[in-house]
Amino acid sequence: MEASERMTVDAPSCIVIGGSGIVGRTVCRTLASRGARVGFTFLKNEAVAHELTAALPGAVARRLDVRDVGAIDRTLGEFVEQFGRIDALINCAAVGFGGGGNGSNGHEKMADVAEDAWDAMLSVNTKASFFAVRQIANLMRGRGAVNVVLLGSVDGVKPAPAPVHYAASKAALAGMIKAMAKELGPQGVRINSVAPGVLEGGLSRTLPEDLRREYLKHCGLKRLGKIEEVASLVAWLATENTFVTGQTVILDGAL
Amino acid sequence: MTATRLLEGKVALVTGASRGLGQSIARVFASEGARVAFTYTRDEQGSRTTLETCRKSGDARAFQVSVLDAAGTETMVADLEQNWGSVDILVNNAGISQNMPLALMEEEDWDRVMDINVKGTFLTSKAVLRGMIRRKQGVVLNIGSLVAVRMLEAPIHYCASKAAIKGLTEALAKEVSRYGIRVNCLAPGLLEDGVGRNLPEHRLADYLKHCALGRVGRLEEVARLAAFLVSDVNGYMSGETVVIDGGV
Amino acid sequence: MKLPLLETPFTMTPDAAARDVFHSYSKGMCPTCRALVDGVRIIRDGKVYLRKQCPHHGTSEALISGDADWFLRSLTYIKEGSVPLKHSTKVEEGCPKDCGLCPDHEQHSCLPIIEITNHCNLECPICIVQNRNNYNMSAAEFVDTIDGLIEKEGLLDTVNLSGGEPTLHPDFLQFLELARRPQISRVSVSTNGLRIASDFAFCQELAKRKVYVNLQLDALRNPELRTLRGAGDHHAVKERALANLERAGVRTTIVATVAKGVNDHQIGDCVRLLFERDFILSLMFQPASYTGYGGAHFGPHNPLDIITIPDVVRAAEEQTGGLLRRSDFLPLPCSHPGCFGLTYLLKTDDGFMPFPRFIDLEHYLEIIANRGTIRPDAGFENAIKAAIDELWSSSGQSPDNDRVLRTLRKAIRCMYPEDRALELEERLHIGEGLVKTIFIHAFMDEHTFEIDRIKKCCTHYAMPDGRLMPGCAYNMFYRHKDPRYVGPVGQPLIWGKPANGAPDPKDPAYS
Repeated sequence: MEASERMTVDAPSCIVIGGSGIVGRTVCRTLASRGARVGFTFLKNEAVAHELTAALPGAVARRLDVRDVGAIDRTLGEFVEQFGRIDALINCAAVGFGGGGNGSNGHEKMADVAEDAWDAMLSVNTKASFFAVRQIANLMRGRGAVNVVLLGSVDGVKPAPAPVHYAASKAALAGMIKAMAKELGPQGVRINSVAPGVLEGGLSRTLPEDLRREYLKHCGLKRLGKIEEVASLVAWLATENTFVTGQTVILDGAL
Repeated sequence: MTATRLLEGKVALVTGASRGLGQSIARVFASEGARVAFTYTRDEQGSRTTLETCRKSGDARAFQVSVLDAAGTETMVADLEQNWGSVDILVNNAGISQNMPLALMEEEDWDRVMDINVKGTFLTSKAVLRGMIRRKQGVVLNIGSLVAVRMLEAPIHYCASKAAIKGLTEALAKEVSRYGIRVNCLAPGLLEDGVGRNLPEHRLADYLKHCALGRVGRLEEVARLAAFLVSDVNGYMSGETVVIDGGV
Repeated sequence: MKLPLLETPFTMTPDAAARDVFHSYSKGMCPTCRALVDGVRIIRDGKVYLRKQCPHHGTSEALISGDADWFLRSLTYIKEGSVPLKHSTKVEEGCPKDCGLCPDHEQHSCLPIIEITNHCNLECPICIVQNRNNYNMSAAEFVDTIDGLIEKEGLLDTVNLSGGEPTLHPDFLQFLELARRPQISRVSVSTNGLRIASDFAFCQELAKRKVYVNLQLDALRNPELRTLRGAGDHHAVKERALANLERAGVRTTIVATVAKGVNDHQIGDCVRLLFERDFILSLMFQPASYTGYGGAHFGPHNPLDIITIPDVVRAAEEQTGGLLRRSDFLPLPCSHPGCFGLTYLLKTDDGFMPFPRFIDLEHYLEIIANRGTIRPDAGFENAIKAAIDELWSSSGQSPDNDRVLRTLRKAIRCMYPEDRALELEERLHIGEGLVKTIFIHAFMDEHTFEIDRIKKCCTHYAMPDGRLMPGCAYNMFYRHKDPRYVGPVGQPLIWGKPANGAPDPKDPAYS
């Protein structure tokens, strides 16, 4: 069978990095509801990790700090060994606004972003994805097709008021996956990114009120997105997709 | 484990479904639980095939009406709303291309491609959206093309028409999303049995060389993406153009 | 600084006939003893001659080009030859003693010929071979030959079945099946048309298999035909053959041997025949060469006064009232310029338009490339697109431009229909209906033989043992010792010539 064919249909094995996060946990649940076997990572949120492993049949949890490249490699290696093969890799681990080092929880302007804040943002949001994809491509070479889905953001692909380092980290994903798609396509790896707008209950908790109003004014559907809607698309791209690759798909209600 | 069908209980209208992508979309939608109505112009045999295949899953109807026939389209929509209750999903798929360089392109060539591809989408969308706005719900999916978002060697009127569809999608999304109606565009690359069916061999070889997955798209996989895009679980996507091209 | 090709003081003056201008060294044959001898090419009186020196038989001269200007220009169309995938022989004695091809050969096989029989039912006075009527190729040998060709060439545009008279072969139709291989695009048959004229069902078999027929047809009148082909009502046969081919829908080429003083005034008629009949795709002129049977029996001929390629070109212009011009014809760049000339013609609503009139030279050469047949690949597409844009945008707009553009637009619409995919084969067929060709193929004899021409030869006889023999070398150096033909000469049945010598009044050959 061609490398670009999907191998398993009924019970795909999926890894969700950052599965304990707000979006990540919904992704895990959606995948499981479609019969997927889920392996996910968590860092601080042990309680959610326990909840998920209890609720989802066959789910496995591992602690992972995505700022540690070596740990990424090891953890993915362990998952692949345990599951035998991987059909999908999803990365939901990200930091949003206020992820900088100085404890600010607002919408940072460039002047507020120190060098270590920049490095931290890029390290989690972009660098981690690079090394995770690299490792999974390595582990799965010659062993079948893999769908990779990265979580981006509409910030970085559409001009929107956002912290610049955050936008940069998300924009980098859009460019990165195009080159990854080209390089890994012949091997059967399809890689895409989902770029949501502002979601209920997500990072929008920290969105300043005036920006929220502007967003709703310009959002065609006049509402925030639901996390389930993002998870649906992620799940489709992870388990049903056979031909989309290199694309950043935007979910923003016609912003 | 079978998931619930994506389009259970929905009514879908697909234009130009007697062959190719349209036929595949109609078939997949039917298998996902939708009642499918579709249009065709000349290909009686193709439309019969589509009808038979869709009827294996449920109700289906065929209408012989051109997308440029505004009155005929409105009559069809009225018929569907009366007999099937509503049109929940519209797929503007009818479209043509024509291999012709600029120097030899006549006005009639330009008009024909632009009319069928763009005006047809406008006329059909208008006819269907009337009811969708009244009901405050609905989904529209326009079939565009990779040529609309990427600079590729293709006939200029075809590219212009598909780029127009992208712009139309975005503007229409802005206008009607406030009613909960989503409008998106699906942009496939080269497909088996698509408008690129007469591409010279050396052009096809070059295209595939630059395609990460190394093949043309299959109608069925594009149709499955279309089904997802118009389903309720994809409720927050509007104004978006989704490219399915295997990484060109 | 561009030098003129011909220095008029030396070649175009009133006393040019007395002046010999040395052009180049050559190696040819002594016509008396057939030994390889040194020679020089000289320009005299606007023509090119080959003067040879045999140590035993002295000086001999032969006309090699009837137009020094054409000759000199043709030498500028040099293209790198292509190498075959494999060579059968090594260089041992030197050209032309090591044919097979040896690694010293400079061109692959564009036009492979398989002689499937040496039986013939005509005894043409002009024939360049000497048929012994004692050999029919076996199916096994045929398959070996095909395999050998594919091994050497990879993909073959055309394979030509010839002989003798190939349609006499008892397993002819089976051989057509055996030649059906994915690596072979088309099969052609060279025939005198006798069977075709009397056997319509046979024509249908040919049409069914999409075989191309090269029909021998030197003139439209019997006197000239009889001089070249022997007794009989050849004209009637040719007419019937053409009618049958047309009715059956067989793709046809007319092959006309042109001999000085015989049918050289009928060149225009042949061109008109090509233009008037849709099913005739191309016309091939073969200036007569005097070797083999013809060399011994067709006589006398004056080697200083023969038809050469530029003579055919000039006659085509003169005899068609300018429908064709000298400038429409070019040498084929990939073989030796002395061997081939051709033009392509586009069929427009009002008449045929030679390609060189609307495609610039560089792009035209790109199209005809290394094969002489048009293929719709990237090179072709670029060339046609450039031609279209050039025609459309050029400042000197003429009705001719419009004609061509209209035709090309129609062609594109036929070849790329909106509603269905065409196989390459179909598209090529449509293309064939819009394009005709006129080829001029000059063979060598003992007088005109030159080593440099044989080195670049692309018309090869394919042997069952895998060897490929450049045509003129085989005809003059190898045919007489071909082990397959050894043995007593067979008794042929010559059409038009009954066994007892008296004409048979019931034979439809006589009218």
